[in-house]
Amino acid sequence: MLKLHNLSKVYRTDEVETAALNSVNIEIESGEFVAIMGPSGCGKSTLLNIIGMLDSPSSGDYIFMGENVAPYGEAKLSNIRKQHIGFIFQSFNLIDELSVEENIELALLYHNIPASERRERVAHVMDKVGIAHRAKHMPSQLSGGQQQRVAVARAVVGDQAMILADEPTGNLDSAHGQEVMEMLQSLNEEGTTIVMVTHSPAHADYARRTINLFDGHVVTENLRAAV
Amino acid sequence: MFENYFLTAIRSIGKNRLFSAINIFGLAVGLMAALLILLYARFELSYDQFWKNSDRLYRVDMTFRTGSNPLAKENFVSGRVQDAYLSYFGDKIEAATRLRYLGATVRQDADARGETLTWADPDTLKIFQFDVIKGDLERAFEDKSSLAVSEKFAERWFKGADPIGKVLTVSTFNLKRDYQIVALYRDLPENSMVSDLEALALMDEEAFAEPQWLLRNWGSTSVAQFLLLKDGVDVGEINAQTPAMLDKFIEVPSGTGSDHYAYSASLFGDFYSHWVSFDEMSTARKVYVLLAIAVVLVLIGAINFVNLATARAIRRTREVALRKVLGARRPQLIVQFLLESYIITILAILMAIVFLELALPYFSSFLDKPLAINYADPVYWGVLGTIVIFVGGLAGFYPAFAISGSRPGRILLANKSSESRGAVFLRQVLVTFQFAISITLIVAAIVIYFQTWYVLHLDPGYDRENLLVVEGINRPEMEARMIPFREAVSRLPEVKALTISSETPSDGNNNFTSIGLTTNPADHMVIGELWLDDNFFDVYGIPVIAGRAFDESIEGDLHIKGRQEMEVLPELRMMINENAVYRFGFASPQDAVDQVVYWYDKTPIRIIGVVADARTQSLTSPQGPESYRLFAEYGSSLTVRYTGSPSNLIEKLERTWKEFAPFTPLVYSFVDEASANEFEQEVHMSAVLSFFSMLAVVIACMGLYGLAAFTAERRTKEIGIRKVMGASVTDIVRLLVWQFSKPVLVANLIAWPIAITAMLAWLESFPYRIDTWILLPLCIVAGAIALTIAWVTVGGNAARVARSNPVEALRYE
Ligand SMILES: Nc1ncnc2c1ncn2[C@@H]1O[C@H](COP(=O)(O)OP(=O)(O)OP(=O)(O)O)[C@@H](O)[C@H]1O
Ligand SMILES: [Mg+2]
Repeated sequence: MLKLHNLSKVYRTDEVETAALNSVNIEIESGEFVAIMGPSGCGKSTLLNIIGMLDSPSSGDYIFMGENVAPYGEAKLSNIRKQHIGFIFQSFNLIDELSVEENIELALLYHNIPASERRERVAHVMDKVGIAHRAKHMPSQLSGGQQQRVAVARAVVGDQAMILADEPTGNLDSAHGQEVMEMLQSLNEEGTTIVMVTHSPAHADYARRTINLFDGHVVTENLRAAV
Repeated sequence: MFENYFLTAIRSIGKNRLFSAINIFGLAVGLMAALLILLYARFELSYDQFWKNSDRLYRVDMTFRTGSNPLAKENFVSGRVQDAYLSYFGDKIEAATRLRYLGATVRQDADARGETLTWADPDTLKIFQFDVIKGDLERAFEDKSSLAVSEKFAERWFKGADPIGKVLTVSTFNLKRDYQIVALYRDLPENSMVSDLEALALMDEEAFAEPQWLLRNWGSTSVAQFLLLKDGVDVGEINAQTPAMLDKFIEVPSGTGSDHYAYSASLFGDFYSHWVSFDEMSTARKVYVLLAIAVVLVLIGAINFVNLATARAIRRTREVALRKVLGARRPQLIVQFLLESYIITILAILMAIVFLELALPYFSSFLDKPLAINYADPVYWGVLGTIVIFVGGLAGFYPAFAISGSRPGRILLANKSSESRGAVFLRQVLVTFQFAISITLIVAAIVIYFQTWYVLHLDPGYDRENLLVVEGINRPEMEARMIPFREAVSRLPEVKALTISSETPSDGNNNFTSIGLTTNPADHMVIGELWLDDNFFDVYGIPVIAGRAFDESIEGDLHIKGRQEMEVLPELRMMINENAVYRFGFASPQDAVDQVVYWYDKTPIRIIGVVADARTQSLTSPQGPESYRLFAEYGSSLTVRYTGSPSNLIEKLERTWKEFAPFTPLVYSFVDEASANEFEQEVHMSAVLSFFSMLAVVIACMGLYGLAAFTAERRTKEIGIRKVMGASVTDIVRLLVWQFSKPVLVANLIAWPIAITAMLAWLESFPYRIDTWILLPLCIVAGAIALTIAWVTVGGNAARVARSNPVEALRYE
């Protein structure tokens, strides 16, 4: 699905240069479930943002579905992104002024999909994540777990091949965290590629492979023994 | 404690520079305009309020009533009405005076100039208070050869030397006499209708007996008439009995005095602001329109302030919640917010005063009024204080009470700073209101501009170009030599053609008589009366459409003087305009030719020709009927159609004039300029309105910019999310711009009907007006202007926000 080759990211702020990623080589197959772990500040979010094309690498190649997207500009990246990649964030990132339904629909809004089809697909995913009875509610009226379910629904409603999740369980208690992990697992079983950043070893266990980052380097890659 | 509040407030104002700048500047500009209008309004409404007995001081006006069509009122009246008032209402009148303004040649040794002097009755001193600098003002009214002069007059003639005792030779009509200066008085205040009293002399009935129109004619507008009523006299009663008084004193050949004239007294203090001669807007109404604009401008600035303050306050809900958790009490928070808001308002007022002082010189000269801020005047401080309390309170109120009253738990728990839908809605309403006002003002400015342009470029029915008018050829020193003067001028090479007439199209005909199809006065109508020579229609290029034109060589065309003394009234001849044809009731111009009609004294007049309507009367009133008589002797102006450069012509004219009247200056005007001057008021009004509507739009857009910046900031997270979801820069800009287009679009829907109604009413007062359907496209144009400005204002900021990297927005919560 994607391949990072000698990929580096350097942040320059005033006089300080931070190498958030340093010659990272990673390959992720289609249909995989990968967890990324590491201490705070080691570059996990940076890596995920680059994979999600929200940010561009400073050097190195990023081959996505056979195309080197590293040199692409924002508009092109945006096009690839909206077709293939869905996002889940730690802090949910729902729009406060929009209802649950409208928040999910947002992921289809910029895809030239007719309104009737959009409504159908939104209804379908809401059923799937069990949030249909809250369709008209505003995010502020939901619990954290429910909000994250809305975010998951939003990430999958566009039928994207890959979902990137940055600490999706970070703001949730363990019961709700588990719930979200199970949702991700079942999505993976349906064929969606999932890349997830987490601090919880237990949640990393849901993934087939764990990549450990330290100071911008990949230190180890563990493959979980097939069950 | 207070110092701490104060510091916090100043710091907060400094930290939010954009919002503070928009608030202070917008409010300051609005306030500046408002103060300016206030100054102007106070000046205009202060006219003649300061006379000692202003509550019972009246000025008299007159209306010609002959026939069926009402005519313009005149503020100058017959010189004979004072005697009538005094003998009819003697016990009710304390003092009465006439002011007879008259041009005269004034000479001192070799120095001779034209001056306007005023001959007045002795009661003048009981009615008006003069500030005598030197000499004895009473003495000026003791004999007919004493003169009291103003500082300005004295300065002009004696350049600082003592004027008392100096002798000036005055000649006008049958009066020619030496006057000795006996008193010097301070110039009258500019906010008075009699501020132009520069030289005063005792009324001289004998000297002014001839010509009759100077004083003795009931049908002439000769003097300004003032009455000081006794304490407790009801002016309504006097006005009610005036027709009976006129019946008693006016002798007319047919009917009664009150059939022909109406007189009415009204408070002199109201005269300047309320008196109108026709349908035009009174000064007071103009002032009220401007005052309304002033209120509106302050309102627009204040709305910015309220909008930005409330919008910003939302951002501060978390700050407030934290402060409360840390132990701040509600009253302290209220004081804090109100203080901030009051400091901003006060800064705005200070800035407004600075702006005003900078702008005043320009406005004073533009409006031709000596406007100045009087810092000792409590009214200004009262208005400023009210504005501070009102605007500052309004803007501080919402944050102070609504937010300080919120419970900290909810806000911190929800971990967000979302606004209630009510607050958002209120802000939309206010923005809509601002733009509705701005659009209305834009429409008004454009319509006034178009209307003025239209009237100025209206085909007047005669050829306005290359016409010069020499005025006052009937002055006493010229009158006898009028015809030789015309001959002399006609020999100048620049002169193509020339004509003498009693009125010229550009000065608006003010001379009327009454004529009817029968000798019965009930059938008579008021008709304009012009005396002219037989070149008039050729020179002005007015076509004859039926019958023939006058010809001095045809016997009987010329008017016959002194008909009253003849045994049988002779038949006279006249030409009329097309309008008169239909007013008389003839079916067509051809039908009118050769018909006989009757003058007010039953003299028969034969109509020999009809000319097309030319706009010879004021363009501000509808064109009426006109009658033309062949008799150059009654003329007062010489119109010259010239070729080549007017400056050459003027030079030669000056020389020729000097030969005939060495002591009187040549007075001339160009016809095209004179007709443009008639619309000076409208041109001014349009400029003033354009200026203020531009200000309104600018202030409203500044507010919009602030709101857009604020919203974009508040929505960065949302914008980030949308971008992650695939929205392009264009999508985001469209989203933000659309959000701000909605109130502007709604504002159009509100503004259009208001603007159209108001402008239709305004256009009503013009007999010649632009097609009213044009209002709708003008509204659309104004709406488009407002929308474009709003887009530009919001768009730039939106594009910047939309281009930023979404990761930045989402990284920190
Ligand atoms: N926009 C930026 N500008 C400058 N430095 C940045 C920026 N974003 C990240 N960094 C730096 O890059 C490094 C990696 O940051 P990153 O957010 O990827 O860490 P992380 O592994 O996600 O940490 P955490 O577990 O706390 O989320 C850090 O040192 C951080 O300070
Ligand atoms: Mg991170």
